[in-house]
Amino acid sequence: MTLTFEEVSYQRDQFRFTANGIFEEGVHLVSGLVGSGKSTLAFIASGLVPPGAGSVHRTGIRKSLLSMQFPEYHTTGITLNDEIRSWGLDPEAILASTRLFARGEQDVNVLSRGELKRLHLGCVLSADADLLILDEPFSALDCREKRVICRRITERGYGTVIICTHEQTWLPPVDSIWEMKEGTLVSCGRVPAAIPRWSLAPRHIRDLLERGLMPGNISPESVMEVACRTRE
Amino acid sequence: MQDPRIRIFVIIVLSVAAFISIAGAALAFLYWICLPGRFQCIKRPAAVLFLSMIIVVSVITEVTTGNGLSYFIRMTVILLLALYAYTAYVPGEFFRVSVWLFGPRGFDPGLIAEMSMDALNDLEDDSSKIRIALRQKEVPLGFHTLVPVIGMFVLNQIRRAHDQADLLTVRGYRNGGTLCPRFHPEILDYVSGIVAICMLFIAILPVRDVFILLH
Repeated sequence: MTLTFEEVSYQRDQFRFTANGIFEEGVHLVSGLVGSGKSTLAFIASGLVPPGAGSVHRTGIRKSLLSMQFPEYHTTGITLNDEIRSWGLDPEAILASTRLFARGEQDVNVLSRGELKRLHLGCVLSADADLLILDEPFSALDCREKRVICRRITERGYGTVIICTHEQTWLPPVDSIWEMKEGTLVSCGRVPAAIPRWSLAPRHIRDLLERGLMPGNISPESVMEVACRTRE
Repeated sequence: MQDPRIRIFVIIVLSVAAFISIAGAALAFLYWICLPGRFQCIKRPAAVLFLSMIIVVSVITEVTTGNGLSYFIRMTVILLLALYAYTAYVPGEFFRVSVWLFGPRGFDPGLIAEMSMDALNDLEDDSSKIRIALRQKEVPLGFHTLVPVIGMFVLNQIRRAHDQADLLTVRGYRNGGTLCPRFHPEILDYVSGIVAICMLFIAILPVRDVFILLH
């Protein structure tokens, strides 16, 4: 299962996006500053926005799903139960997994943005899609929820997940790291070799690298493991 | 056209010309054909929506009182001009033009105009995102989905208005303000304005009289 960007470019006003690379099965992190082109990559990868030039090839991808940053855009149901059913999912299971017990008949609009994001991600991560593109999945979530989402991404265990985010701390273990630099997609390679090449790596990872310590992955657990390792 | 004052003036003059007569509409259409980026502006989803509304009203007019075709032609040209004005708009232009036109009193109307344009942009953005969401869920836009979708539009606008009000309060805004607008008109801008005025005169004069004058 692969998603290939071949000489892809896209122009919007003064902003120019270019991408070249292959996303194989696994979890990919696309790191970048605000306005660097992560959302554009997400839309083009999902096939919902055609590239201006070049092509995007999908091999073995049956169904793809894009989760946009703001969960309101995905809301098409009046109640929580309606909304979950609109994804073709069982309301009881999703309400339980998102800890929104007994709120199925409530209006979706009474949820805070954080709760709505929780519900939305609960649906997206349970949906049967082999290419999942998550645009800023950690926005509007507290640390506990970010940890839950990381765990659920890891547990998914199949297909390709592309996480486009500027989150610096709560990240799941990933297979590859990519960067968006002023509209250009740059591959840092596969983890762990990609970590030293990751120019936007968070401070705590850069500190470890400066001390000659190389984490096995970018999740807080992996970083903690190497930071707290006792020298033999 | 670089100067927003002349662009807005031209759009108003040509819209009036197109509304007055078929001849005015034809001339305004010719003008629109010569504008840069004219075809980009008709690719917007809003263009289809407004054109559909014009078609419906034209058919009703034709059936009830006649002149539906004339109404259709004139309103379509006005729609094309409006779409061009919306596409060519650069944030801050209405603010500058309003202050230039009305002095300090133009500050608040200019601010309101800019906020309205922002709201229009947001609505367009929201609608494209919602269409994506519906397509992903393979849910058609029908009566059952209309209520939550419209609710989302309204709630988003209320949230943004609330945020904007907070922002203005934090910055100490009560009413009025200071702005020193500067414009850099080019020769072509003046020529465009004069041509638009000529077109308005031709639209006002009956075509028969023009030919008499020429003789």
